[in-house]
Amino acid sequence: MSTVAASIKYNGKVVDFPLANPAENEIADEVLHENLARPTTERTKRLKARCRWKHAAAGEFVDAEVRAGIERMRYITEAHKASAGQPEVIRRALGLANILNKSTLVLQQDEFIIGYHAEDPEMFPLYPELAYMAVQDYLMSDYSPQPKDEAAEINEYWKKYSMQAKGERYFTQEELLQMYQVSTMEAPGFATGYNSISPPYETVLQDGLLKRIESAKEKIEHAKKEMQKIPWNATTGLDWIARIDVWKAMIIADEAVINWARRHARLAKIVAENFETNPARKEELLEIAEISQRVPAEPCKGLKDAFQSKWYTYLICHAIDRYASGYAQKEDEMLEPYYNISVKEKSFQPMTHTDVVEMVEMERLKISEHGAGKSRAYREIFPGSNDLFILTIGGTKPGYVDACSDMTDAILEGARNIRTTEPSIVFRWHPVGREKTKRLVFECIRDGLGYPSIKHDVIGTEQLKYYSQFSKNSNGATDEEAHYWGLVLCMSPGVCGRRKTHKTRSEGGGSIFPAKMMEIVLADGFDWSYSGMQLGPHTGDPTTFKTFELLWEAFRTQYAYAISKVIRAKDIMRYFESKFLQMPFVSSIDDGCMELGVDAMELSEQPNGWHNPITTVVAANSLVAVKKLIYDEKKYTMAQLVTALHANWHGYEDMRQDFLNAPKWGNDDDYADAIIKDFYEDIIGGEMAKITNYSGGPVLPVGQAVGLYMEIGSRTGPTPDGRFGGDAGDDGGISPYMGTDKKGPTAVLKSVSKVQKNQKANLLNQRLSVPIMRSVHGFNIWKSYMDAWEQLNIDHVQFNCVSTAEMKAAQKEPEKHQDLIVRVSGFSARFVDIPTYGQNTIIARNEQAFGADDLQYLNTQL
Amino acid sequence: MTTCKNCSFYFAVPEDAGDFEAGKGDCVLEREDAKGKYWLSKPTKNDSASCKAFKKA
Amino acid sequence: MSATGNEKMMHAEPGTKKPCQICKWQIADPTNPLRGQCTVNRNTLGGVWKRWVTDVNGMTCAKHEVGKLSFREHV
Ligand code: SF4
Ligand code: SF4
Repeated sequence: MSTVAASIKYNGKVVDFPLANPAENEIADEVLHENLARPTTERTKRLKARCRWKHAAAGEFVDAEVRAGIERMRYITEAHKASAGQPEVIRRALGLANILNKSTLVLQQDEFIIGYHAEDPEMFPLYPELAYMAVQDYLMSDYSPQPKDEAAEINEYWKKYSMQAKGERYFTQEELLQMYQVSTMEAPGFATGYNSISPPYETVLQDGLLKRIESAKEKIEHAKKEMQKIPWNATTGLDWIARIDVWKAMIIADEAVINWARRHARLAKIVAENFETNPARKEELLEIAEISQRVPAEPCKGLKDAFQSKWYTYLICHAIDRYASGYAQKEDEMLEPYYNISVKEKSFQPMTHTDVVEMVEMERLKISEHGAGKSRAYREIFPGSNDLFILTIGGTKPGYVDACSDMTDAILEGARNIRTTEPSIVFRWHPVGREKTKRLVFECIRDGLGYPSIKHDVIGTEQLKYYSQFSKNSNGATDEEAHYWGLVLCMSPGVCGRRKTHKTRSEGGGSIFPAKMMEIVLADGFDWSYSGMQLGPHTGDPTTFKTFELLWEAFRTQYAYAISKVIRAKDIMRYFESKFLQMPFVSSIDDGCMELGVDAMELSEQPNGWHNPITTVVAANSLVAVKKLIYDEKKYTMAQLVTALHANWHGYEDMRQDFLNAPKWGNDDDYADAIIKDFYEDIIGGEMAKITNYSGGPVLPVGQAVGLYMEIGSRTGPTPDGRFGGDAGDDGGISPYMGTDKKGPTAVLKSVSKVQKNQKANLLNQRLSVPIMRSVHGFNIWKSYMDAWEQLNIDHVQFNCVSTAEMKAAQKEPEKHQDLIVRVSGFSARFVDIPTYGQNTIIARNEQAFGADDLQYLNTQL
Repeated sequence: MTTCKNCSFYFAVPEDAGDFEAGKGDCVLEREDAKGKYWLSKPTKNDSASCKAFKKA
Repeated sequence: MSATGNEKMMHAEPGTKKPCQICKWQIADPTNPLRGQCTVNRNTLGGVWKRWVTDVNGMTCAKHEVGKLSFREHV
């Protein structure tokens, strides 16, 4: 029934691959994934069965019940009108307070971790203060907030105050058109409202908000005394004004958050005493009430407190005060002290390890039903998922000491057991990491979850130390802080913890698209295939380029133009964020903002600038083909190429085959790899590193893809790598183009390891053979692969381990394959919620089998 | 005129609560849909005119 | 060759009864709801080669079909 991998000859003996679990012999390949979930308790089984997923695909919500709520936009608008004339930072705090005081709270059956960010569990909030175009798009949809007239009026009110209106003023109409169409550049944050953040959860868990309020009050008292000093000195004295306002705003925000959590406590108690009939649940609701009465006001005393306090903080930072994608946190180290209290010492909220696994599963299901009121572009590019949610585990403490713990294991066990598309997990790989934990990492990957993705622990840690030297206040990450990192979104490390975390996407995030740039370089910067407009500078008629170097430099010019524009847009956004989009709650929980009295949108202590080149490999492979066939071998002229491309290769199939068969990235091919290494290091990284952003540091590339490799592919005409117009781009920052890596997994590693300079991160997608991974040798092979990967100093790798048979069966009968999860790029998705073409691009990825040569190179012990 | 005060879904905010105001209460309603039961809590005033969900206490 | 230069292809036609807005092949622009994207061009492998629709109410072409694209047919 189940496919078993063919035997191979290795080190002089025949190696067979029987399945590690013999019972799986009876399970057909086509239904494997439907047989892997095993929720830890009846409760999590029920919660998963009734989970209110809010997956989007093709820009629309998959479930017809999902819709926008109106409460958040109503209450922030009401507060904005009522607070006119007050300092802007105070207005922001009053806006948050008004939402928290007046919004409807939700408590669902069976939940232990409670709290939601809209007035109904099928709804999500909107953010008219960010981009009115994004809200307008919702108003025109089937899931518009109701009453629609009121929502339209609110959106109209915000037009002149919105981030969009503020940011647009500093760009020409042509620049805005170039950015908004998302073909060479991602649209700026002020046009979409898209954002990401790493909340400093640790202060909330460790201190509690009452203590933060006390600190702010003391700061204000101190400031007042300073201002009263005689003789008056304006050069220092006036600085206190803004700081006092920031601290006051923190107090307003924190008090509102405490009251909001305590409203939840009242709700749980009221339900226990007036609605619930089951005595066990009644008791549990009273415990929930007690927890929400205590946290986040007070420090957490046990693990249940920690999960709840973290959840409230998440909702405020990511969904209520402002929208932000991501689930950035170093979760295992953050929760470990509370795990020890509750599981090892049993001194507060005593529980077993299995109880913790259930908590992890419940948290995963909370994320699974979290709705994001994000703009259409971002509903399109993470097909089959709610949003990007990524948490980080593993890695090392200072001195490169293993940071894995039983809490790390519980997080992995919960993920493996419950099988949800989100949140995704990142495991920081270091040789000292304990094998017990690495086995659990393997089990999740082998079961096809697509996560954990793996990041190189040393590269990430050293990178944060590198950035810290550019700190504007000479207070960048210390060695200890640099070790405590998590991914801000899919790929980029950032400091976690009490201070210096990433606060806004203005710092890092957003994309540019080299494939489209390659297309316009061949048309003097003009986009003939999608928008019919000039997208970049005039870099000349390519048929006049006598040498490859001229083409290379023309590309550089297009790239430099685009990258400076998008970073300028981000920094202009940051400027206005610090003046009109302050985040008093976030500021109150950051030790730096508290100490200095500076809002989180303004304060930058640890620079962490990056931007995401997506579709780099299409451009790189194109340059290789052009160099070989036009400049080296002179088999074709540039004029012939341009003609063939404008015909989308129709009538030029032989020529296309030549370009398609030119050397490609990922095969350890010296000719291709030399050009491509240069391309990454000199242009993609080199040009970006010349930029200095708001935080005073360089901006470095984080090559990845999300669903944009399909979106951008569809807006990109034919390219010299042999691609047809509209075909997908490459599916990862440094992953070989689908189906073109023909020399096996170790050749891919060797190619990828050549790119080292001027990079922040690069996504590598690999697809593993299901029968090999599920065999008795699966872990050993994978572990030796990972060790080689680590030694080659490669930044990242993530795996799909799903058979083509199962994916094709799911295409035929989607309703029978609800538990089939695939790694798209930087996120995992429910396969059946992805459009057919996207599914096909995943099926088309080369499945890497491990031959004897590969095993030899990896020195695998079988 | 019936008001929230006389409704069985009205729960006065206790005096020691951070958001206490005279006459303020929580309106807590039970809902059920295809995915299960849930409860909603919304602030109200004891002298607010009753709504369609009113049930005599 | 221009993507919009051919009469059979997408072109401006003020007051058209068959605007891209109500065409099966038109989907929203990612950023600005007043613009759109035409997805009628498809590759044999299922790839969609899009064209930008700068004015969803004032543009049309001979391939106009009334309807709504299913998410499965999207990119
Ligand atoms: S709002 Fe309606 S349901 Fe709620 S307390 Fe008042 S009358 Fe009762
Ligand atoms: S097929 Fe024609 S009418 Fe339809 S969206 Fe495309 S250009 Fe517009």
